[in-house]
Amino acid sequence: MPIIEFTGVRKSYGDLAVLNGIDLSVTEGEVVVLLGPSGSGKSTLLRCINALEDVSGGTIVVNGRDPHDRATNLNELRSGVGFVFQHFNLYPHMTVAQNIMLAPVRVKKLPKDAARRRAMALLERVGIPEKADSLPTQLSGGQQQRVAIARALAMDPAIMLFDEPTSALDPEMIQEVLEVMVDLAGSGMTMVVVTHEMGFARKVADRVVFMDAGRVVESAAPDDFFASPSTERAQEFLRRVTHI
Amino acid sequence: MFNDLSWSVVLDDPGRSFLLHGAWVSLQLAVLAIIGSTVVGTLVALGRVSTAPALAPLRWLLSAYVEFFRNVPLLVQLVFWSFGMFSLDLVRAAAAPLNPVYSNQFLAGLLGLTIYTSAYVAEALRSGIQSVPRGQLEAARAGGLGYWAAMRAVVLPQAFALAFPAIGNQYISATKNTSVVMAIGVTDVVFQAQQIESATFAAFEAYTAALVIFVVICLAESALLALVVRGMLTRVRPGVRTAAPTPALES
Repeated sequence: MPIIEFTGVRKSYGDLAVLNGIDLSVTEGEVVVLLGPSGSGKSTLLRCINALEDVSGGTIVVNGRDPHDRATNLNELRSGVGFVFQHFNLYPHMTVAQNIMLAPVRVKKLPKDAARRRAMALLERVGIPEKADSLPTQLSGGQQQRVAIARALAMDPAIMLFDEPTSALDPEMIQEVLEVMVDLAGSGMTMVVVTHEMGFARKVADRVVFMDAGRVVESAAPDDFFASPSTERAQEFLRRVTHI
Repeated sequence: MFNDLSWSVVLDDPGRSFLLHGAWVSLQLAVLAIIGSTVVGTLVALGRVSTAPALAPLRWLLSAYVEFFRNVPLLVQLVFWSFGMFSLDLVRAAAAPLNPVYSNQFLAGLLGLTIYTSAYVAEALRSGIQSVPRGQLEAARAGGLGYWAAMRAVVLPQAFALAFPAIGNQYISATKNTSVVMAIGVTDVVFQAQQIESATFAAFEAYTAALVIFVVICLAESALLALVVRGMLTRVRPGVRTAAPTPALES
């Protein structure tokens, strides 16, 4: 029973088709890495899962519910899906702990002290408990992204989505974020990750999905994909991202 | 040449208590108009930045509200509320419970000033809301917060901080604009100065006193707002916080 299922999903802005009939399913506990050139629709696909984007056609089922059905309680569905953004999007007017506590307190109506304990446990998990009362702007990029991951985990999601989580980071901060993600994958979390980190894809992914021009071109185990991609487009992509 | 001036007409009673009473009326008018225009302006701004297709007529209506009240002179609006609206029995009856505390002139002035200022506050706040990065709303929605909850907890606090320099200017304008209400018979500072003048013919002293009272109120308000702005902006826009001076660059 897949936890995420796309059937013939289309999305276009006017004449520009961004998703061209996507069929994709993710099973519980699976770590799927989306690869592909920019503009291939990876981020859009990810953002359709929790309805940050509308779709123009096709159906998506997430946790047994359709995020694009008007009858679905979107807030409830989103509570079960953590989302990590490229640019962190931490709330600058709140402390790190308040960032993590906001959704549990407002949506789950968790008492403040319980939410605070939970926030501290999550900060422990991402390795920066000492930053609980700092403002986001006092943190490095890597630390901010780790807080964003803790914030996404605060609602106990069944699924975690990552939209290029390391693309806005200085090279030396990428590792600390990837380590948290590797740890999360090891805990059995269902993850869909858009990234350009080939090392992460190779090491952590259960499956690599390669996209181009709004279609899924290839879907394979990472060892197979990186050793011998079956399509010419994927071969060309891998040649280009493997520097020197 | 100044020895013919008699400052006692404004420094001693009854002139002094006339002016203090006028200052109290002006201050109440300013504070209430600021609070009222902030509440109304916030609602108008929220309506204008909404995106739901069903709310399109509301957006049209609110944009008409803003354009209308920004483009009619304040004096004309005040005259309309006071001599127009408050001449209607219905309006007078509705205002009657407040009359023990506030006269109809005061209420008409407050209403006019509040509505006029709210149109400007709404525009300032709207641009503040629009300068909060879209990712902020997305992050809150992705966490499961509804649109209004996300606006309240995440977007509005940042929008207020970003827009506060502009909103603060509107607060000062509103305070200065309270002086216009004497035209509809509100007993504000200017009205009292005029009373002193007509009783004593000491025009220079009376109007100088009114001037000084406004300078004191507006400068104090301006200083207070500057303090608030600095406190608010340092959180939302860290670049605003002035860094510790670098001795190497200053020597």
